[in-house]
Amino acid sequence: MRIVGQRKETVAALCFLVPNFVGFLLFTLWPVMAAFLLSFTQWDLLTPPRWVGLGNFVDLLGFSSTPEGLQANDPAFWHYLWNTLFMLIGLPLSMAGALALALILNKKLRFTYAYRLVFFLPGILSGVAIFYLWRWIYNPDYGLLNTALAMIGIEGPAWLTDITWAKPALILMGLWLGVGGTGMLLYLAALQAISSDLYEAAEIDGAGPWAQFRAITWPGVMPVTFFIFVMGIIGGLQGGFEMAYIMTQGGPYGATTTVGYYIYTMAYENFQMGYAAAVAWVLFVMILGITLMNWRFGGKNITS
Amino acid sequence: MRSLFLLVFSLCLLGCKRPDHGQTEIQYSFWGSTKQMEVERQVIEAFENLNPDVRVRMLPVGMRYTEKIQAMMIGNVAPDVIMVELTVYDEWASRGVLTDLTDLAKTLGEKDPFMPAAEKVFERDGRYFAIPVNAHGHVLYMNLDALKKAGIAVPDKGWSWSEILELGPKLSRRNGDPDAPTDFLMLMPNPVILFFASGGKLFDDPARPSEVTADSQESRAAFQLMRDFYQSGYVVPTDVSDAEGTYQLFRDGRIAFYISGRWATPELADQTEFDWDVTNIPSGPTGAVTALGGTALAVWSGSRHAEAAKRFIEFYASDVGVRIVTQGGRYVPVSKQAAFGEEFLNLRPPDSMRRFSETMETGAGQIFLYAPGQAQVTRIFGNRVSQALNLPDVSTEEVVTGLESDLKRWMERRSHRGPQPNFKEENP
Repeated sequence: MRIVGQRKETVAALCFLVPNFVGFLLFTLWPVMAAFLLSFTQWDLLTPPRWVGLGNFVDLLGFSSTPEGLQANDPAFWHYLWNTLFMLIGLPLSMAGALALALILNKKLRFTYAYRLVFFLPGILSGVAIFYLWRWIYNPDYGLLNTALAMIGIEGPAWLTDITWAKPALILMGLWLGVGGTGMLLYLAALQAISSDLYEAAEIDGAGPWAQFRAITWPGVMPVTFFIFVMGIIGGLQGGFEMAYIMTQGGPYGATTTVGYYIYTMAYENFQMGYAAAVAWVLFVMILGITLMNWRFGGKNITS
Repeated sequence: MRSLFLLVFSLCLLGCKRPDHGQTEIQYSFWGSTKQMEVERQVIEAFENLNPDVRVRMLPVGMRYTEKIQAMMIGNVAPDVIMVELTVYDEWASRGVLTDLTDLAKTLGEKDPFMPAAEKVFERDGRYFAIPVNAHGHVLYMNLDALKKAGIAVPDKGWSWSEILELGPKLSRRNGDPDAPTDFLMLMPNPVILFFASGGKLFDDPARPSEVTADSQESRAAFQLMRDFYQSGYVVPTDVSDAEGTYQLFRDGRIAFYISGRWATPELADQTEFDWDVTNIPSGPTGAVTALGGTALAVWSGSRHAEAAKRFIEFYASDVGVRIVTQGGRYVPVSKQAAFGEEFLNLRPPDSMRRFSETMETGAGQIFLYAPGQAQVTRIFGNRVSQALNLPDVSTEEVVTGLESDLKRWMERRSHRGPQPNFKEENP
């Protein structure tokens, strides 16, 4: 009787697992492995791929000696990698903002639920709609931002077409998205999991708000902070495509082109799918390396 | 619930009209507005009436047309008849995914020769891989009410680029005069057009590039002209035009001039509340040169109904087909007779319809390459334009030498990647 019950359970589990597993094999693992093989080929999408060994990786990561000195074989890649890393500046800022917002929304205020909903709205809105909205906000002539700046006597720049301001403008928009998004929700959940007894005991011991934050809140939200940080790094290194595609087309002068957008242009505009696959794999190895480092050092702090 | 599902399913089945027995069904992909879709539907209807054994299924594609069709090619499910964009024509033709239609092009050309611009755009080494149905250069759309208010007369031969720029203070409120007729003079002119108009040339031979020729006095003059426009303050900043749309700015009377092709006419005819007309595109030292473009119909080399597909294209390019698409208002006929025929020239608006035909007849238009690599070269050029416009501290000299070295690197990498696809080999 027990064996029949166990078998039923196994069958039920398999029924739930198999579709997901098959989907993973077909739509994730298989394309990833295909991309790995493609990275050793020259493939223009329309004619059969040609094996070039490590040629794509040499073109991508190699340097050549020229009369002007040592030059990268593909300077554009390094430029776009720098852009991608630069955009990560927004991550700690948005994490700090999300934590601050969660701390406020964790207090027993009137209309707390309404505030939570309003702040979480950017997290559930369509990315494309948000990017169009921000294109209007950044409109140098009629945009909300420059109109507001004009009221205090400041002439705002052409945010998205000025080389100096394009990256900060996208980071600012990312902050707006990140502060009230999933990060805030996770922090809120973590804050609510901290026992109120700890705060009461601290108060009796005479601890002020800052001491309470340092000794109770911060250690309590540390695992969530680590999780958001790791996921943010992964997402940040992969991301930037939709933003660049809709708002700036990677410009001005490549200032907002990220590695993700570069992969797209190489594959679909330049007909170099093999090279694009090589870039994707280099990016993957970088993300893997950084994530392992995070686990090695950050993870240790969490467990200790 | 089940009956509701069955009802919906049956309705879906009724909606999918299958070809009758013995009929060949071909699929035809194209892009364009809902108005264009109506024009295409009319052509198909006329074709099906004359060819009852063929049914044409429309496949209108919105944004990212090329990528979608390319994905269908890779999946071996591409449409039989494909409307082709010039930007990928060379890539597709040289890689054998388009059927050689030279014989059909010759037959059509014998009846009524193609305009020089159409030939220039789609003929490669004496062969055609698509039949041109629309080839165009650009014209200058003018807000006549604004010009009248500013007391500006339209010269017979049009303006030069520097003359147009000088009209900025009279026409644009950017000069501080709130009574000026428009907000801006115009959109930032297409840098490719300014480059060609100034006599710039990227390669020794655009059909078989072997040497980069971007580092020249003409290129310097072209980049300086771009900077003059950009820094004048009279052209629309790109983020404004990106956010508000380009033709919408002209339609709403916010710019005095608008450079575009025939395709802009139908919407402007319906939606503007001021008097407008067209004239020749402004000229530079090498004359009134435009960036050529065009639309052609091709047969996918994997099509199982190539004969039916060719028949459809032949009909599309015939007198009947041309009449329908021309009256749709977006196309300029590709054949000389039709482009200068009463029927086309009598269409209104604009009053100066002849300008569209003249632009094509002179053939004074160019593209960077008549060979694969168009997209990469355009991107390299665009990057340097962006540098010139956004970094005023970088000298024009540096921009031009940078462009030269970028293109040389592109050529090197291209040759390093092995033999290039060409139009001479038979399609695989």
